[in-house]
Amino acid sequence: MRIAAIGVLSGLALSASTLVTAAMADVDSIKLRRAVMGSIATHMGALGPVAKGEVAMHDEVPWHAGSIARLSAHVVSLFPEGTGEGDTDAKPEIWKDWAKFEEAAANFEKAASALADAGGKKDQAALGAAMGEVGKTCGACHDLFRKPQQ
Amino acid sequence: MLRAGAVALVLILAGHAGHAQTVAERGAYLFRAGGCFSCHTDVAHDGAALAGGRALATPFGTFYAPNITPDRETGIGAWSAADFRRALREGLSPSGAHYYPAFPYPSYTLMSDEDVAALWAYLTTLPAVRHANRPHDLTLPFRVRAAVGLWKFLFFRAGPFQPESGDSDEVSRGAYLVRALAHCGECHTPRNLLGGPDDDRFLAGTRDGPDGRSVPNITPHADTGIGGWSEGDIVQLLNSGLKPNFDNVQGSMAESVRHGLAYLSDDDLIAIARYLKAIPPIDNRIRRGP
Repeated sequence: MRIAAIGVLSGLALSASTLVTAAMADVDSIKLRRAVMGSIATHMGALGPVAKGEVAMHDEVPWHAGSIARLSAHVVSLFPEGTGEGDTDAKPEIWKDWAKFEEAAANFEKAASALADAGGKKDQAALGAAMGEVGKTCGACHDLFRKPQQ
Repeated sequence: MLRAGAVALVLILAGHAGHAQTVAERGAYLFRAGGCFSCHTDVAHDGAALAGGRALATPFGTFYAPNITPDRETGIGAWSAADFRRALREGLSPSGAHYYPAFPYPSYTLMSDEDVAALWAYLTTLPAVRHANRPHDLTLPFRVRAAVGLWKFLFFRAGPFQPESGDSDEVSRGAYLVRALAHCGECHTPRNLLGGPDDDRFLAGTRDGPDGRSVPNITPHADTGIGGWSEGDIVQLLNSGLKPNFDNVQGSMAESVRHGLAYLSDDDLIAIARYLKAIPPIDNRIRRGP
């Protein structure tokens, strides 16, 4: 059930992300962004219990880790200029300091790629370490560029 | 490398010698558990540790935490241990004035006498910093300090903490940490119009938290709380600030973790997690729906 929901979500996110280049109304950009970020969070949540050693390594792990890596490549494209207003937690600093934002997104992409490697090997200890590293890059970017959530 | 080895050896030897923790060392730990640092230090402006000045915006106005270093003029250097105990237990200053409950004495009142004394012992060892307190900036009627007396009459019950009969030692320890020291309810329990805690919704979250932010429901309710979190998820959040999806918490909770909860022992964090799993689940949705 949960896996199916994740599949639908990430499928939606991926197919929608190909449309980003086409001109879209801001509201759609924001919805898409939320969907992709939500998908990443859901995949991370699915890996969490394995990373913490609460659930044994299983066959879906490489798929979740790989999905995060693939989604990470889309992050920068999800923030076209002029999408900082409305139902979004994106801070205006993203567009004021675009180079820094791109750097933060690149750090995430790199960490996500390492996560995909660790997940692909189905190595629990490596997965735990890689998850921690990905978490740091999420936090580093969110601290600077996302309005506080608790 | 050699030096690290030597340090490790010394630590091992100290452990073998049965190094008894001093009262001040115990106080240092309680200081972290109590989250004193993050409110009493103006981290955002590189303020000196515990010299005060951090702004806490609430629906009742903005509070500025005072200097609690041992400076005699601007801090608490002229206080006695009894003054300190009265401040925590009764919410009264040495001159008998009521403290605003932005200072979480409604929680600290639950601390044991022994822990209050240890915390005091620790604070007296810290460097004194001369830094004058900034007055609070409050809306009426909260500007009238005497009104705090009425507030206390209505909402304040002096401690110390009494464990619930039937709770295991571990859950009782968790309850003590959550309710007395970490003062989780000060932000996570919703308040009524007069700023009194709604005890029937203990830890059920609020949209009107400090700094104008919403504070999540941390009761074990399956849909609206953290009922889906494992003990490991709770421990991870408290020691690293990472949520179950490895996104980080932000705002004042990030500060609470970084400067306080992250220092707690695994045993204490597990006790907190077990307690949070044991309290009544309350249906109270804070986050906007998906």
